Amino acid sequence: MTVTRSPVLGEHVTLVDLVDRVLNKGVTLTGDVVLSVADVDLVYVGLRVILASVGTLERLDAEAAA
Amino acid sequence: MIHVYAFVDELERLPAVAGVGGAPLEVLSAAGLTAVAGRIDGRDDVDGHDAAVAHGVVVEALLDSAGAVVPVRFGERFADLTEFALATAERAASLRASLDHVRGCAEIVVRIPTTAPAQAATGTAYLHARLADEQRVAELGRRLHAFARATAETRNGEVAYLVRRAEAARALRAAEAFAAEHPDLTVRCTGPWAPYSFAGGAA
Repeated sequence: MTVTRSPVLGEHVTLVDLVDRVLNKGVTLTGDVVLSVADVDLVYVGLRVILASVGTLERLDAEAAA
Repeated sequence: MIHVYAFVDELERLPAVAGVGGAPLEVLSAAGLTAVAGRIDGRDDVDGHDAAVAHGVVVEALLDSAGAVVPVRFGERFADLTEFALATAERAASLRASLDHVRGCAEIVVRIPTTAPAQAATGTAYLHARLADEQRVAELGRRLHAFARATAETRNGEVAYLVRRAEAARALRAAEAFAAEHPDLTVRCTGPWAPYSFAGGAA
């Protein structure tokens, strides 16, 4: 069985980077980011869970096709 | 409710991308500064991960349509224009300085993972590994020095390099060449991104 790196997965990794940046970097105006921070954790967990699911789905697809 | 994406200079056009909650992008002015924002009242999905992605996509798109982009952290929202103008006026000087600092630039981000084992046999072994880590980071820094106008260490052991947009591809190639010479390391290099790490940080 040939293992190939999925470009789709690569895009998702970049998506994690993108979300990490918008949540943790950038200038703040109000200095009141408590709500955002609380929300961010949920967002983050949600995204990681989805990523895991996508990765699993892709692996299953690849195995099914092999 | 006004959702702010970034402060910009030399905006040629608004990017043709959907904003947070699908709200169209608009230009706001306050204290002599220009911001790109969206009105998210009555919009769905303005807090979840899709919204965070949409925010990031807008900011990255601005990199192609504005001379200077200072990204605003996701979650900065204002009830109305007056509230936005007040917050902007308070930080006008530092925002102006940030815009000048990042003009014409993007950032590339490089992460070199530590090779120091979490449970080193001896303290000396651990310190040797850490020293090797630092030497590698320094070596990469020397290679990127020609391109970097500024550097910023971020959490996760990442280093962000502020580079001229026209030189971003060359800087990335230099980092990739470094990675190719160190096959034992998983050097992670992404970009060019909007210059989040040089936006001026916390208020």
